[in-house]
Amino acid sequence: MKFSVITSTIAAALVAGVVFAGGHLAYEQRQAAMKTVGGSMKVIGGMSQGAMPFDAAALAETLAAMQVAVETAQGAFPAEPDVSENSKALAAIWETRDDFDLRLQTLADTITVAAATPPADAAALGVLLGQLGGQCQACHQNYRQPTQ
Amino acid sequence: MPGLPPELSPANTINWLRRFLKFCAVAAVLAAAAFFYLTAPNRLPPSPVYDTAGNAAAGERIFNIAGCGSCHMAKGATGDARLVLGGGQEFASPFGTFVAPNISSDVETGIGAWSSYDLANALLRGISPKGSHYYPVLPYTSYARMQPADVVDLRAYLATLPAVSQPNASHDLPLPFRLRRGLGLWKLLFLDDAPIIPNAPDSGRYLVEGLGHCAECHTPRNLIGGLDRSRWLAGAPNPSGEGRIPNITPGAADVGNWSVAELVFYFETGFTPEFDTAGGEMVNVIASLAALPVADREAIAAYLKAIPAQTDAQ
Repeated sequence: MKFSVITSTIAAALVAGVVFAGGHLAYEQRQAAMKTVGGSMKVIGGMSQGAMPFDAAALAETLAAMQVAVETAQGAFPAEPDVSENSKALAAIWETRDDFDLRLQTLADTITVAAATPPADAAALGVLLGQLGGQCQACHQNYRQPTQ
Repeated sequence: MPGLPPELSPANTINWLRRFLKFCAVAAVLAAAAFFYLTAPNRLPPSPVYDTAGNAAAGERIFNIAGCGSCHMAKGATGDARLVLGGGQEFASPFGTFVAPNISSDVETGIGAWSSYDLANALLRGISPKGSHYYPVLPYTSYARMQPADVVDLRAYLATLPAVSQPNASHDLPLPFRLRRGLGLWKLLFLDDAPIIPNAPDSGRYLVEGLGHCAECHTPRNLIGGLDRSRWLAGAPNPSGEGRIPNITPGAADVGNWSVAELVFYFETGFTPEFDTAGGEMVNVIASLAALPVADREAIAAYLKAIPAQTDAQ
């Protein structure tokens, strides 16, 4: 019960994060959205790997928040190149924009399905984690700077 | 010539010039001889092990740890295409642009005709079958630590992969670096098979310092491209673009706090403890590490916990 309250709070904070912490600039919006995606992945990873108890209600909220965040991210990469020292987005995004958009859409499709029919137990959630992991890496491989 | 002291008379001056030129000529010949002696390809001693039949199944593990596919497959290949080793990927560097060669089993454009001994000289000494030096973009300064038996197994495994008939462009390098012979001097400075961290556990050391060649990206380099061993695995500028390759020693602000279990999980899935994911070149590395027996991932993690802590670069 206590965990349920904690995870629900996390999920609520994630949704709020997208709405309020976005900022005005495109890169600020992307970063806030990706932060929410990261926070959601931590819940998905924690519940599927046993670091956190499986909680269907909190999971549903987390997946819904992640769906909103991915859709926000999709709208936060402008048509013109938006590369700066404030952002880890690489110029390659705008050089092969169709490929980038396709990969982000693949993630959006995955999370839309998951939010509509959330995995029912930790094992099923683990399958989703693996799927998301591959999709995150496929994009980060070519489009995000490595981080220290 | 009146007025000149006798020792600077024309006869004496010509005599002196003649002796000086003779000295220069001899010095030049000696320098050239020394250069050719020092830069000559230094092949491995022959051994009966190279004539044994390798174990292709064991070689698959060597292939995955060494990450051969990451550079020699087509860029961005996934699934079975990771085993199509026609080369062609380009690697920009401060010394020019290198092009990965075809290492498929095609006889004409690949390495189908190579013996295990040929492969061992390429990987451990950076020497082609014809005796020229390879550029250290092939990480032979790490592979120098390979066991010959592992090369034989790798040779057997490579022979099971598809032949690809594909000639590739030459490297695109400015003049001084186009002359391969000089690499012999570079090798004298930077090519040896001594352990870097002798106290670290053997199995992990072999995988990280040797086959896995982790230091090639995670250790900073000096001006002429040699690894700075005093900053072993302390992180470095990204050789293929923007950003930095992280510090992975116990002193790293981020990775230094990961437990052995978290490191092993990362090698298997690409997920950090925060469930961020690997990016850049590390994505290919993860794909290779994930294919290994779990004991190898554990050995790599144990090694990383045993090496000296280095602080992140400022």
